[in-house]
Amino acid sequence: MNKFPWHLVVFLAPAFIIYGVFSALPLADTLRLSIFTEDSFGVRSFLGWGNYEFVFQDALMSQAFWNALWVNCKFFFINMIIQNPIALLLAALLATGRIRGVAFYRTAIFLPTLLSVVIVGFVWKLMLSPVWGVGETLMAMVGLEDYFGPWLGMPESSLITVSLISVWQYIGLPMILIYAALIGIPDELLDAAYVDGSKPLRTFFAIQLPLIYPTLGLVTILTFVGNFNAFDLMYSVYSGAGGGPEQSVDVLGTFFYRTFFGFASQIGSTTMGATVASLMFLVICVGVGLYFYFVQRRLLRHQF
Amino acid sequence: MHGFFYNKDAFKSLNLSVPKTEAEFIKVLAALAADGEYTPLALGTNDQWESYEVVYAGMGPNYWQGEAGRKGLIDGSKKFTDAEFVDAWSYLAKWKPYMGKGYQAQTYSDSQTLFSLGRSAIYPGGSWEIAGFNKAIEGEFEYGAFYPPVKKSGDTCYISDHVDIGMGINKNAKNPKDAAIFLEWIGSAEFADLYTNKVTGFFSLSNHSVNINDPVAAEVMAWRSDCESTVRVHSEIKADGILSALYSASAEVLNGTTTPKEAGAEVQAVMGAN
Repeated sequence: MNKFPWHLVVFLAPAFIIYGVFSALPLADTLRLSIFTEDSFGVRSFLGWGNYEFVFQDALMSQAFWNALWVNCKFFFINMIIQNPIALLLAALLATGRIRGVAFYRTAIFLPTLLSVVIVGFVWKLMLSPVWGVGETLMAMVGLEDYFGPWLGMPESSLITVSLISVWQYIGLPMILIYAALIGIPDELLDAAYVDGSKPLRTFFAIQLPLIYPTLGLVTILTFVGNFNAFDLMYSVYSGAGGGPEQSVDVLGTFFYRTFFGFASQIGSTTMGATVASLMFLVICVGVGLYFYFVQRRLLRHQF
Repeated sequence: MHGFFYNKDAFKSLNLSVPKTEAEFIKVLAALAADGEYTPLALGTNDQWESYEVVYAGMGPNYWQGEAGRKGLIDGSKKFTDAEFVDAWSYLAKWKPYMGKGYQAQTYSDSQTLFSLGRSAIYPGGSWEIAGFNKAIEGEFEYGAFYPPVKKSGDTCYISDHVDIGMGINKNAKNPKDAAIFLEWIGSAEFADLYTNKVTGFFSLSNHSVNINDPVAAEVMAWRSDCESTVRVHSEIKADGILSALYSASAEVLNGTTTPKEAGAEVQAVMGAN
């Protein structure tokens, strides 16, 4: 008779417990809360789909929700167009093996990801301040002072400015992931390509890039989940969850925060906030699901 | 209370006197702008709340006759799209050329600092700033305060109070008698004196007359004898989100991205939705 494998339970229990208590349980409870309603004394009662109906049918709420979703999509789009290609380029350059001081560049580019987002937000806000910031001075040094503006305060430019701050902070992560994948490609493959007369650029696009598709897929998914959960940078740059000038930087995270905790004279509602959070979860699930169905299944993984 | 603080040294050097009407106010701003040494208005729209709480709610009562307008909004006889509310926003729109460069990204603390450094000559603000200004300016220049200029000479002026703190006894209190003794003391002349003089820029709402030590705070308190009192116009309005709608609308008008009429419609939409 086999003894019950207690060692499995002992080794898996800590992870299960921590994940369960801090991630799975709150998620389940959020979904549960979204079908309840609460009165002004905080007493909750079962409601059904009423909260969801309100989010989609109330004129002001639905306008705010769709705006937040659209701003989030734009934020993700800007990151995909700017952050990931540049990370790929940097990783490719570092992986050529012909750059002196690779370790220094790696560390320097990765360092901002370790900074507290509050510091990043405050410092960039200060640098871009039209009153005291060095931004204008630096641009004047290269003769571009006419192009400087109060970008964070204008709805046309606020989102791209905050997105670029986010790119600056987080570009080290995809860079490191792609770099690790690139240096994992055996030299024999690259030598064989060289011997066959392939120029470096062709080698990159024909051999190295296809071999790191799984990593690029991972980077895309992480960017997607990270961007749709974005909140802290907007909060620290605009000193609150207000959403920037004319709600131009209002992402789902800040919209959720205002709904849950209240803002100015708007009273917070835990149940309506849970509804918004559930919708965020749904959006991210759908995105990841589409990715897994259409992309991930077709990726070939190569064992070296 | 909401009004304007001004750099007395700046005014003296340009021979400017305290404006009493809007036309005079715009002339003062234009003179400061022409001279170029001082930024006329220390105001930014980045944080948005001052655009409403100090500026629109402070200057507007001259347009909607204080309590009459505010109560009209609550009982539904008036709307934010009515002429008097829209005209108040039109007045704000005139200030655009006199605010600092890049004011759309100028924050509340930037504005405070610009005034206390003596770089901006006029600061639209509430009386709570007095204690902070005293400390920051450290006597480097003299500053004073004036109340919102009226539309035409001879009009009644209105001061908007920023009512911030009140105290009451919980219905289920365990020691209601002791609490009542404390509350009675809060209503006394002794407390009025203590509060008004120790927390400079804050005033007791009781009717006791208090000798105010700080000169600027005393100047502000004297407005009560010249002008009618009202409170910020959103007070007591129950519509969810009315305050942030007023923030956005007022900031957008100051930015020039929304017309006063559109601002009124924006805010009224929130009123109507609730």
